[in-house]
Amino acid sequence: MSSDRSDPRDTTHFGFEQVPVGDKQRRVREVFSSVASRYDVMNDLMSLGIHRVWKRFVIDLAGVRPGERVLDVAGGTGDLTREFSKLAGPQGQVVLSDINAAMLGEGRRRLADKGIVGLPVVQANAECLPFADASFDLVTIGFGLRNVTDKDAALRSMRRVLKPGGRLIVLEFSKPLNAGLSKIYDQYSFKLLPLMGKLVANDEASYRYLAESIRMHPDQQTLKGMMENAGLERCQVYNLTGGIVAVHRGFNLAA
Amino acid sequence: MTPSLVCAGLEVALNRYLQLEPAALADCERMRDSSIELHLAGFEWRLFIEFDAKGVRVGNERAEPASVLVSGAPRAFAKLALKRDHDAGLPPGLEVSGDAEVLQRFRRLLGRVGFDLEEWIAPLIGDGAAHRATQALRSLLGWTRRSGDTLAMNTAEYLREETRDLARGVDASDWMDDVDRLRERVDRFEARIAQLERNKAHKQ
Ligand SMILES: C[S@@+](CC[C@H](N)C(=O)[O-])C[C@H]1O[C@@H](n2cnc3c(N)ncnc32)[C@H](O)[C@@H]1O
Repeated sequence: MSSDRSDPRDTTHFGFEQVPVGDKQRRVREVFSSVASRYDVMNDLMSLGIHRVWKRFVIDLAGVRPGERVLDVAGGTGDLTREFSKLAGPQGQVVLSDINAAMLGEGRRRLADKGIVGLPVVQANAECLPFADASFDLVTIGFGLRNVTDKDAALRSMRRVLKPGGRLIVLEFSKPLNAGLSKIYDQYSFKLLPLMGKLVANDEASYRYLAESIRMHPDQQTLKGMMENAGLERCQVYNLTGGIVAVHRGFNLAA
Repeated sequence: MTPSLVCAGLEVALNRYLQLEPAALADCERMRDSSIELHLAGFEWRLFIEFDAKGVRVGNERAEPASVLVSGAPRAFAKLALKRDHDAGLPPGLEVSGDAEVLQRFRRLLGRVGFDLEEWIAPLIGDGAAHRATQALRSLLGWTRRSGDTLAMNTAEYLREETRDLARGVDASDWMDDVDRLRERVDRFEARIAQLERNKAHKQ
């Protein structure tokens, strides 16, 4: 891509604000560093616990088999990583990666608590993954893509590291399919969520950002199109909880 | 269009069976250039089944026509899986066009791994079938937490349920402390909202 990251006139959105491109990454980092230790509790509260169901769906759909190589991008505290590593078994390998060292530290600690040790943990930006071409059977990014500045670059980079036949699964907030639900959800995420963030984590701004970033994220069809542009095939959207969350899956079929 | 969750359900279920047998996966690999379209008349659902070394992929659309199209009412599909290899006749009520050999191979595959299409198709038969199918699928695979609109579930109730779930976990005590603290805050928070609402009502 020819865009010059250091040009201060280039801006991108940070929640509803426009900020210089270079700034977004730093501010996203601050948000996640600030929520890292309370992250799981907030996760439950944010989604009223449904995020576990959403993740269950991703795990089933991924159908990881013994011996497979899996990369969990923006893996944070490692929920998906943990399940994948059980399924891939000792012959397989699961790599936990995230751009944020504080989240990774928390992830490593949590995995160790569950008896999962010795799994590679790699600090990496989804836009330029430091892995060889065609090295994974499955790449996942759960609630991470919306935080990435250049989503197209991230999708290309994730496709690049997929083996032929490998699949990419994106789990992300999306656009509710029904107007009524959309309204309730707006109230919840713009009023209740930042308030809860304030009460629980003493961090209203971070949770306001989370709510806003959800709204700025491309809707189902747009993201599907972006995946196709990145060279993924057989792209399919799975709406969960009325489209509040969508799972997108695409394959790297070109052999 | 076929709900994508139905495609996911069939795919996940089929793959669970196929992956139990390396030989079945080898068959899938050999069928990688073949595809099957199932058309469930009445629902106007179309499911496209594709094969690769990992099993099957099931989608609800496809750019090119499949190698073989099988069309009929759900009930007719129920009998499609072969129990015995020599029993090769097609169940009545199904129409097949295209490469029938692909369909035969698929039927043998289902029979071989013991996949019971009948069980899978049962919720599709009768009134309210489409809705029941999606529900059955979700609960079968645990993609639903419980009945009712989860978003509308109140927070306190959710936390109570969550503590029960977690009590079985190893790190339950840590978590429960967190949850207790949360619950107190949520209670205070609810009281505060109630107060704000009362104030607002006064002013109006
Ligand atoms: C909401 S968390 C999701 C964590 C975990 N996957 C889950 O589902 O619970 C989002 C994560 O995205 C990470 N992130 C943000 N921008 C990123 C980027 N450009 N590349 C990789 N990870 C990024 C953050 O550090 C954070 O850990």
